[in-house]
Amino acid sequence: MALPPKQVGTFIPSEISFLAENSLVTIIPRQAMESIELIGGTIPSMRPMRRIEVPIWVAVLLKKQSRCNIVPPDWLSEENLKVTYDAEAANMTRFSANLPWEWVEVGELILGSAPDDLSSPPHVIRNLLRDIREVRQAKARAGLKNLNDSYLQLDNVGAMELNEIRSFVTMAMNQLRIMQGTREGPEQQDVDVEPDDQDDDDDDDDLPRESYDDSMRTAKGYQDSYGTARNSSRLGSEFAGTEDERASINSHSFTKSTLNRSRSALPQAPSYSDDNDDGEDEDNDMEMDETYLNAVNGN
Amino acid sequence: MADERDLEIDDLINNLDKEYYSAHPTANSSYLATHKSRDLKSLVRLWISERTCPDILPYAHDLLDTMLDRVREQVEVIEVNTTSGDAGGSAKLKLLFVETEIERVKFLVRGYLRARILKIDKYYMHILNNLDMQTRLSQSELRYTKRRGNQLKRYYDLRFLSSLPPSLQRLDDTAGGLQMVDAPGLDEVVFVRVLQDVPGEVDLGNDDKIELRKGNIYVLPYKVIRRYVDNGDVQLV
Repeated sequence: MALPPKQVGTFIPSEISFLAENSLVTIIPRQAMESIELIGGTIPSMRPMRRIEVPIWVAVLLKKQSRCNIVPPDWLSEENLKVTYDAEAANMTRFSANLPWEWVEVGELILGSAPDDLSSPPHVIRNLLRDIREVRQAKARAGLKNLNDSYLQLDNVGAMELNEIRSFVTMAMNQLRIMQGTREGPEQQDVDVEPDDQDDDDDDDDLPRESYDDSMRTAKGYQDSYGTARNSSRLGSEFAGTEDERASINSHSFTKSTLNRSRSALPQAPSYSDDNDDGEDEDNDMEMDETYLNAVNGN
Repeated sequence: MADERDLEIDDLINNLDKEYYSAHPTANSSYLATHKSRDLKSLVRLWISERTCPDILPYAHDLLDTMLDRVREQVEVIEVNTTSGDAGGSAKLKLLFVETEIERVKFLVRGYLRARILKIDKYYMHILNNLDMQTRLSQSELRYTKRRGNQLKRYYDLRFLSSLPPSLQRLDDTAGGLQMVDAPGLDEVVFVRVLQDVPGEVDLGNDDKIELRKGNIYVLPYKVIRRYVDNGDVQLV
């Protein structure tokens, strides 16, 4: 039995959470217990009040039975979360390095299973986590504007956050690569580009290529736009190009006709469907945000 | 006076600790420090890689065998402990951990195999035409692929191919520059995390170069990052 479709090419949130449960957390046992041999290691013998490290799933089970207290990791304290939030808010172009790879999942697991072990009231921590998450999601979405066919850098992104943008980024980048005609081998497919767009910038100087006929000129327009975007593709450095170039990305790269002709169009990317001029960019971004959020929250 | 008593108590505790840990040499070893946890980590990585990689990765015979052996051992532990009638509170708790972990490991193994079957189903024709691909499959996967290929071929022949002109009956036609056989798209992008610094720059083709520094997270075409994935400098995430 192969994988169900919704798990193809991505993970579902519960799977990401499952992975985070393997990471270690410190607990303070309340009772003595012999050590237990497991497949993936040994749970050390426990004596009351002697701190040990165990996988989170073990800690959660013990906590459920009131046999231990979980020591929340340092970054999960109110104080540190406030610092982190300020750092996140201060730099809207970068993710701060204050949080561990699995921060979303671990935060939720500990809040869910051991709210009484936190040093501050759970709702304070929960709100701070939510604020940080929202700030970071805003950055991730802003960074999506820099998508190009070459690469994307996402330093300090969390496992859950990465997984949330995975489908979209993968599809979009693969699609851009098809458009660039860089795909090789049997999967190569010509993408017809309608010669309906005349306002591509003619700034070809830095791209030594042979002359193109009309339809290829538009294709070269992509090259220019993405070439520019590519230079600033580090997520969180300056956003792509000038307003003009952005407009040209929006207006011709994702026209319906192009998408329909090429393989595996972007069915879940409603914001990038129709032709749109500058004025509509904002609306479309909003629409995209909503869909994105829904997808993210699993609604 | 009070100081003296405190000292005495501290000494007593220290001595107790020493005795305890010499009697239980593994008692203080952290959960991390064992080869077992390394194996489990490898299994987790294997699952993630297989799920995120567009290509079919070599089947991990040794690891899978080891893990499945251990699952069997743990099942035996459960059987012995439940039949011996020694079902006190702590024994039950112990079994709870053992059982939970067995399920977790089985989930990973199942997920791994299912991710592979998905790709095998998709690329079976390519696998059957390609010896290198075949060496990456396990015996049973290869058997499955061959049977699936034969059955599909027979079925298509029976249903409609036999009524087409002979020139249109092939399933692996390459006429017109179009391949009918789907192969894994090595050009597809993957998410990677850099585990250790890689000296120099990586050429991405189209004039782009990037540096791989520990902790970087990139989205890149699989083919440019593949050899760093293979040698363990970066991991798929």
